[in-house]
Amino acid sequence: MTTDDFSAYVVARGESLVRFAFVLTGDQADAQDIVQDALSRALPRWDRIRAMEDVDAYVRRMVVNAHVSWWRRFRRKEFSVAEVRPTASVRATNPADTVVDAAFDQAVWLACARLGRGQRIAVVLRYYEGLSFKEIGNIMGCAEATARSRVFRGLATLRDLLGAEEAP
Amino acid sequence: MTSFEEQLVRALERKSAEAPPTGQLVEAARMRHRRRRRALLCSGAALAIAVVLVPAGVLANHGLELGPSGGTGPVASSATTTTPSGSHDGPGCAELTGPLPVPATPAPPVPDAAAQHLAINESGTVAAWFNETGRLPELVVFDLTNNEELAREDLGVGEVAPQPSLRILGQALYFRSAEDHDVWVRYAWHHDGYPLVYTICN
Repeated sequence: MTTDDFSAYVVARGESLVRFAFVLTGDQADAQDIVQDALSRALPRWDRIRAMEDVDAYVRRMVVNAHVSWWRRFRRKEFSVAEVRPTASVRATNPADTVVDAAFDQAVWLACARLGRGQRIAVVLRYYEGLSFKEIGNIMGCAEATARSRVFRGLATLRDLLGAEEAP
Repeated sequence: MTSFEEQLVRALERKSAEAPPTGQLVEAARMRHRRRRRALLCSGAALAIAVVLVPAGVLANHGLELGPSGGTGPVASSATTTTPSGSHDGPGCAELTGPLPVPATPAPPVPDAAAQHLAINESGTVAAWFNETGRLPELVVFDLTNNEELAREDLGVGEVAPQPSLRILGQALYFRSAEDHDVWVRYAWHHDGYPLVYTICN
């Protein structure tokens, strides 16, 4: 029963988890790895997890933790990426002016890769997952104020890298 | 939310579509869980690690040769036996035949050679093999060009099929699962040697 339930959950939510992990890590292989790692840790305690109010949030937290712990464990080197060159579409702050989405997406991707690990996680949880600062703090194991600070500093860095205008 | 934030949200959503396929997540998670449990059970056991790396070029110095690619046949099944007919059916790599190698150059201490199912990729730059160390088979991937270990991974008891047909293709290696001989387990190693990506393919 437990394994059936676990399988059903993974079938239903697996793709979403991998997409989340991909945005989180910026790397396809890493995304697969941390999702597998998180799920393998969830499996033996699935009875307890499935009884939780928000199973998805818990599993996503496990994915974030897997990402953080792997980074700590193996002390991944951070690689510099190509210079982010703001283009006209990147500079545009009005979505209607953004003609080349793909170019902007790639610029955002490269800019995210230059964020510090904590800032990137915070930004992804805020703008990809749409979580509140309190929820982000819970997942990252920090105070709500710290989560807010990480998001805003990450956002400011992205603005700077992408050459976007300062928010009013 | 500012327009920049809205753009950011849309960009992340669009980029997330480039995420890799989920594959067989349930099976992969189960296998990882089993491996972790086995590793914990065996963590107290003393593992005599026997690492032997002999670049293909020096095999001949020890009377060894690489088996031909494209054939099939049994491979060595224990650390102490030698199998003269070892070969496998995979393209791009070859399996060691003949007596197990003795370190010819300064290398990690090797009390007893225990490398099995040695495979070398087509270009001769990467080797992989299984060590039988205590109860856990251990998978080792080695960069022959730079003479450095790329990855090392404990596998579960019974996880490796008796005839795993180990092969290296590109940046990944494949071997047959012990649980289902028709299932190939795929490992890919990163530039920093870890982690190994663990996927299952049919």
